[in-house]
Amino acid sequence: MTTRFSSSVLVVIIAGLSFAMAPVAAQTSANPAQPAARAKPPAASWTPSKTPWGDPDIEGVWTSDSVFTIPFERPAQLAGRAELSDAEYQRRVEQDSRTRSAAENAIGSFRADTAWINKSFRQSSLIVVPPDGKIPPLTPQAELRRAPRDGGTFGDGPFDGPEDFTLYDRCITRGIVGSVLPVIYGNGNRILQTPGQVVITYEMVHDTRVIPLDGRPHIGQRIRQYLGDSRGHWEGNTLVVETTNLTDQTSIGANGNGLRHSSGMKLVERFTRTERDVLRYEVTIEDPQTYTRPWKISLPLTSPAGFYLLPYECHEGNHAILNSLSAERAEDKAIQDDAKKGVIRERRRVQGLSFAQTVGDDSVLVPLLVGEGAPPAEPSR
Amino acid sequence: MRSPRAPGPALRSATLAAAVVMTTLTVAAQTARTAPSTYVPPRLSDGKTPDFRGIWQVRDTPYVNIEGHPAEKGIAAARSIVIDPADGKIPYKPEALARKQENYRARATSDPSLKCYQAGVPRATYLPSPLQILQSPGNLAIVYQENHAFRVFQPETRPHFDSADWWMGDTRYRWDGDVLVADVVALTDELWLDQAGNYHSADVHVFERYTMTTADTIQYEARLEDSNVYSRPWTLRTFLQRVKQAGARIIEDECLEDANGVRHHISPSDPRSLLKTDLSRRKKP
Repeated sequence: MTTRFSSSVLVVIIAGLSFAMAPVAAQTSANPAQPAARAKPPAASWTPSKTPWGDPDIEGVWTSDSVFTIPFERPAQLAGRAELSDAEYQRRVEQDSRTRSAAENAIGSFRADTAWINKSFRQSSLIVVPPDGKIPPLTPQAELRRAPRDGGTFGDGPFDGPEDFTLYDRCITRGIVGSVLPVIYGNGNRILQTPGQVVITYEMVHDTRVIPLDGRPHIGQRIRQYLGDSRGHWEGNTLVVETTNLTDQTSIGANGNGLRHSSGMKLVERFTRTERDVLRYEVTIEDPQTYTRPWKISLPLTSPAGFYLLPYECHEGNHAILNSLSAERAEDKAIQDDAKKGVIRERRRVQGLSFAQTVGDDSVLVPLLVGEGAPPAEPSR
Repeated sequence: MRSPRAPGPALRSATLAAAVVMTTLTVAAQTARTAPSTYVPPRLSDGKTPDFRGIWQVRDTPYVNIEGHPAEKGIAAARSIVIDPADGKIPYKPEALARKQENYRARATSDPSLKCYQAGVPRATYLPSPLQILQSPGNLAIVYQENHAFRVFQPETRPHFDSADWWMGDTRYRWDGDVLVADVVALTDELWLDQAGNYHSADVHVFERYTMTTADTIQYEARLEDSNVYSRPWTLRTFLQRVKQAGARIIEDECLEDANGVRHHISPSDPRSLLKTDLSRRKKP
């Protein structure tokens, strides 16, 4: 085993029992992708029903699985275009179909949740603002914040203690945005509505946000939480949630990995149900200490038939940190032993394993990389 | 990591049959002892579903030892919350009692909660921290402050998962009049029931009853059936009190990030052999 063994993979092995469930569920769903789905269905064409107390109904189980093949940042060959051409879209439909069947037909205990892809979309990137679809330039002080820890078990280490890993590796949290961005599994969002409150639960790392809608002020500035302090209100059929009181310990990226933002960050999320089974999720990131301008991610969450959240016990089965640390200590010893023999060498570097290589099946991601340029900003997708 | 589940299918059926008989007896005994609540809870917006929403917490200290315990520094003495059997003792089989006693002796280091693991069912109910019951018509979930655990209560029409073992189990529920009735399986055998080392096996079946007895009180009962460990099913009962402080809320709780939690990340091996630098040095800017 290498030092850089992906924590995701380890969790899969450890939580094998939980994930043995996924294929069963996936087989029963087996929804073919709906090629007719449009990137932005006209909002006026579909009106959500109301809850008994009169709020727009966004309740249900939602997942970002269907946008797994949309790049986070816009690839160079799609520069200047927010949507795919018809021919490109057709390729994406085929790619989604391949990705889904690869997941459905995977053998063994691991099967990516891409088996739940049930719609294809025309979006060329998940980032929609700025209009070039790229993360805005970082401020100079944000560049100083970069640390080996930002990549976690996908990074170069060295791993000398728990703080050298990301909060995701440590099973603490993926943060708000990291909990919604699509990854290989655990993409479920469960929304429950009640008069005066909206509750959102994320499957992976089992976080829950209870969001009051009664207009109360934010809590005191001295109270800081990984998931911040959220306040919601309705603007027409859109739930708008504003979050402050965040920490400087989480990041905007898949699984919450990546460069850490500042504690002054403010998030504005917008949830709009545009079809019965599509919930448009938008989040605007305002953090002048980190990004030179605000930016926005937009993605459709879908609700495939039969999909729901399973228990996700991250910390209880987290051997990734244990194994990474023990491998590093083995390398310490190997370096010392070599030195005694007169061989002075550098610490072994990460081998550049992609996620697909670590799971031994690159059929899922290769079409993505070949067909649509650079991989997403975070390698852990 | 886990030992295989004890009984095979045939034995399981036999066990189940025995359990059904015992269940019937237990329920009869229970009914005789429990006066039904006359309180009628409010309804959700559908006008039908009992409304159990709110932030709740058990205010006494069964988390220390559900069989009762003497006073300790900062903790008041408490009686057993085991109501059946009447002696307040969990009816362990002899060999299981020996393991419980071993757990008790090692409780300062062996309690899975020390490693920041989720508490399981029923333990999560009577932790010294609040929980929040979330409901809308047709939906029910409980979020526990400790380790931000949650349970989604699935309607009984959905079959239980088999062959899984989870830290918060797999819950099915229905309404028995105004009583929330849930049954929970698929719990891991790594869980304890309290800080005193009381435990169950992976085959445990937990039957919960949540009864609102006043506007601010939920009577919580859990019956545990587990023929691997207990000589008969047994029942505990405690009370959840509504947390009424203005602005009460579930507060973010990350057991893992405290100074000890850092070490918990790398349990069960000896962390000292894996940590290259010590924590106090690394905390300096």
